[in-house]
Formats: sequence, C-alpha cells, structure tokens
Amino acid sequence: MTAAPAVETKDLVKVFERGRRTIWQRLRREHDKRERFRAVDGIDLVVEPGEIFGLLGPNGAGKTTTMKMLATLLIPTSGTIRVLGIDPLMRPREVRARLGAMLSGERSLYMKLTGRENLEYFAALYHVPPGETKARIEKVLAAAKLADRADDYVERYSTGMRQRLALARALLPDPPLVVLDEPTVGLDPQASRDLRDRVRELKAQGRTVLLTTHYMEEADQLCDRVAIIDHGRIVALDTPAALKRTIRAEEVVHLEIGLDGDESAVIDRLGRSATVARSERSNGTLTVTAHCASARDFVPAAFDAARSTGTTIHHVEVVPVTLEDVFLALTGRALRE
Amino acid sequence: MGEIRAAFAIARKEIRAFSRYRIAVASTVFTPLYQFIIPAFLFGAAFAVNGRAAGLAATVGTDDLPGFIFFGGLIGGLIGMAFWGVAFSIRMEMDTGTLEATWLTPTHHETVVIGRALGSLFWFAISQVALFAFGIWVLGLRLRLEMLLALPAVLCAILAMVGIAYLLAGIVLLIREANFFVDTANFLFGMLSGTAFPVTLLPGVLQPIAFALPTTYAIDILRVQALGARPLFDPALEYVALVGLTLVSYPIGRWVFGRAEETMRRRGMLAQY
Repeated sequence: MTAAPAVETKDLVKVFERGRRTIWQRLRREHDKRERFRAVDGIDLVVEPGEIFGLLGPNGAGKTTTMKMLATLLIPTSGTIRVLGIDPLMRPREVRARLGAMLSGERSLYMKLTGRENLEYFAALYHVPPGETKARIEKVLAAAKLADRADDYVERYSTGMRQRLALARALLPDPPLVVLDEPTVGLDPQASRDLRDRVRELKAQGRTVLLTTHYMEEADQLCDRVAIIDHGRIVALDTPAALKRTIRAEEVVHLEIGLDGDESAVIDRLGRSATVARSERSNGTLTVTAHCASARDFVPAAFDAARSTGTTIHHVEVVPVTLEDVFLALTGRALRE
Repeated sequence: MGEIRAAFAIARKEIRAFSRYRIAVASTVFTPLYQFIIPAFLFGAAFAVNGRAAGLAATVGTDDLPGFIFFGGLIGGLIGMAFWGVAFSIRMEMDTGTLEATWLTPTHHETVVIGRALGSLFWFAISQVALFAFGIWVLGLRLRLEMLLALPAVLCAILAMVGIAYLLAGIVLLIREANFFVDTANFLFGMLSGTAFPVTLLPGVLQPIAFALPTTYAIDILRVQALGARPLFDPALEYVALVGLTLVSYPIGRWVFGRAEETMRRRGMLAQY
C-alpha cells in the first residue's frame, strides 16, 4: 500500500477582487463591478511524503496564495485540497495540528518576549502536552542553534536568528509536513546556507517540506522536485535536473553587443547557431541570452555574426544551465522581472 | 483542556509583553485618572452646594459623588478592556503580523479572544486597585461592605463584555479605521451606560439604546448596592435584564466573529499589514 500524498490539489483556483464595494452599493444590491484577479489559476499538485518540493516563480506568481490555502489561512474559490489526506476546508484544526508553517517569518514573532517565551506560548497553542513542552522547546532551540540566546528578547536577534526561531516554532508540534514561504528572503549568504542545511535536516528526519522561493539556486540545491509557477499556473513540474534538460542546451551564453542600427539582423544570425532565449536593448547595448549545445562552438559563431552585421561583442559570459533559464524558456521572462 | 491551557498561555503572554512597556503600564492608572475621574470629580464639585452634591442626590438618590464616579469608572474600565484590551489589540496583532502565526495553530480562534480578555482583566484589576486607593486617599471615597452584594452584577458585566469583545473583534478585524472606531465606540458605549452621569439625563432618543446595554444595569446595581442610590428599575428586574443581555451578547458576538474570520479567510485579509 502506498502512502497518501502529503499534499494534493486539484484544479485549485483563488480569485481576489480588486477595489472596494461600499455598504451603500451592497444595500442597493448594485452590480459588483470590482475587477477580478486570478491569483491561482487551476493548480494540480501532488507532493509525495518525505520529499522537498519547491514552488518556484517570480513575485506575484501565486506561490504564497497557494501556501496559504494549504495552511487553512485562505479559502479557495474552487478546487480541492488534501493536506496529509485531510480536507483543510472541512477540518482546518486537524490540518493545523499536523502542519508546521513558517509563512511571514520574523514578523510572526513577539519582539518583547524572549525566544524561549515565544516557544512556550506557541507550544501551548499547538497543544503540546505540558509534560513534553520543556524538552520539546530545548530540542528545537538546540536544533536552531539558539540555545545560548534563548533568554534574550527577540528584538535583539538578527534577522537570521529570527528566521531560525520562526522555523523552530513551526517544528514544535513535531509536524510530518513543513511549509516554508520564502524562507531565506532577507538573509545574508551564511544565514541562507544555515537555513538550507536545516531544511535538509528536516528531510533527513523523514518530514515532507513544501517551500516557495524565487531563488533558482535555492530550488535547484534543495528540492527533489520543483513546480515552476507563473501567473497562477504551473508551467513545468519535475526534478531540477529534468527541468534543465527540457531546454535542450548544455550551456547558456550571455552576450552584450554594441550596435547603432536595427538588432534583428544580428539576432537572426545568432539564432542560426543557438536558441536566442531573450534579447533586450538598452542605450545602444543589446543583451542576449542564448541556449546552446556547446559554447566552444557558439561563441566563435557569435563573433562571426557580429562582424558580418557590423556590430561589436563587448562581453561574453558562459554559464551552466539553471532553472532561471528554464523559466526564461517557458515564459520569455526572467524570474526577477 | 488544551483550549483552557491555550487561553491562559495567551493571557500570560499578554501580561508578560505588556509589563515590558513600563509607561504603558503606568498609563492604565493615569489615563482614566486624568481623562475621566479627576475632570468628572471637579465638575461635580463645582456644582456642589455647601460641599454636598445636591443635584446628584435629587437625580439618583445619593450625594456620594466620588462613589458615583468610581463605581461608574469600574464598569467603564471593563468597557475599555473589551474595546482596547481585546478587540483593538487583536487588530494590532494582525497589523504587526503575529496574528497569522497564532491562527496557524490548532487553537480555536475564539480562544484568542478569551485569552486576551483574561490578560486584560489582570491589568484591569491592577489599575482599579490603584485607582480606588487614590480615590480613598485623595478624593474621600468611602467603601461600604454592602458593595460586595453587587459582585454578581460585576461578574455578569465581565462576561457580557467578553461577548461584546467577540463582536468588536469581528468588526475591527475587517475595518480599516479600527483606531477611530474603537475610540469613538468606546466613548459612546461608556456614556450610554452611565459611567459618568445618570442615564436618566440622556436625551429620550438615546435612552432605549442605554437600556439595551448590559453595562447600564451592572453600573446601576453596583451604585444601588454600594452607595444606596435609587435604582432605575426594580433591582430584580435589572438582574434579569443583565443576565438576559449577557446571554444574548455571546451568540451574537461569536457569530459576528465567526463571520469576520470567514471573510478574512476568503479575502486574504489576515496578512494585509
């Protein structure tokens, strides 16, 4: 018998209204003229137990909205959700009891309480048995490397320490499923690495981790599988390696080309030797991202193309294929746009 | 059992966190003192005849001005607890971002209101002890043993204000101008309950509203027992009204709170800070 998925959604939709409808308009039963915005537009998702699953996409893609629906904070407009086999709409408290969630990071902590007092408070709210509370708190504090600062006010913590405390809090109920919304946003590189290590430890403990990120490296390094989301829809879903294979390129070449006239000729010539994934012109410089099988073959061809069209290549950068390139190939836009 | 423990944890958190804002703690005593008690006392004293509040005696049957003000202030403090200590502070948690984390736990969201009410009651009790001590020491407030007979009415008023706190919390979670609403509604609620002056002096159009508030009866019973004031109605009838309105305030308050919570979950308002 196979275990039920940790998370399963079918045709999940969330529509928000923009603007306000006044009480007067409601009383008069006037037609609701507010603009509708589909933040999540038919997401089908299956997250298997024990995997680290990433939702990767730019800001506003619908990642956080999806997370909030899974975490019972938002009611979907339509579609179905099962979290650990439970319907969060029908039995929200049962879902919350089994879910460790870190959604708004450091903002979700009480600054005028110490780290330990924060955890004592949330342990009671998670209904951790009183006899186990102390040991559970010590355990999560030690795992978060905060034991020596547990009795300091949270307002004196660094951003990274607050994020670790927020994650420690999420682990208080010993949850089989942990959801993390942009866990490394605002952290310095060292703090980000520490947090990623913690996420890997969670997987090693047998927990399922569902995280959102707009950092391609994070998704690439951490996740067993990644769903790329754009405009509320999943545009690709697979392992990071498989996703990178879909663009049929071994290397990515970024070119900066100086030109005065029309860029179509040089793009056309470059396109004969590689796939031009993106081109953007700014102040006399054409920036091109090309996907190719071999940079060793493409770069000389690119210089030939530039010479023959009367343009000059100022800069060449060869990088391996990343999930950013997958997103670019799928949507025509960069993740950070 | 888990919910009771959670409620006390919320209360403990409130007490701990608030105690770390020393000036705010001091203001729980000084604010009612300079905003209500001292101005009301001086205003009443200005109209006294030969040091006796003759007008008050003619209206409510007692000339004990300090007692009239302090027992009104006691229930006024309870009203403030529901408006500021419970409803507005839940809104503040929403604005700072901590409410979302609290609502991610399996604790009933209604328990958050109960826990906050318990925490606010602690500060209410502290401030009332300090205020009454000031009243006895400086303003000549006299306490009679008979005032203990009004204890059931005070307890009932506390329960009623928790029911009303649910309703208020539901409203302030949804509206943008929560501060203005709480400030204005708190003032009106206190005035209509007769915290500062007899409700019989209210314009006729406002009196039905005053008689629909449980706190009006709690204040009146308290003044009757503690000061020997003339009751608005038969005290037994006032008790029936107080208990009835308390019982009604709960289902209405919880229904409004539940609707507000659902609206927030539908519109995604919880994280709009």
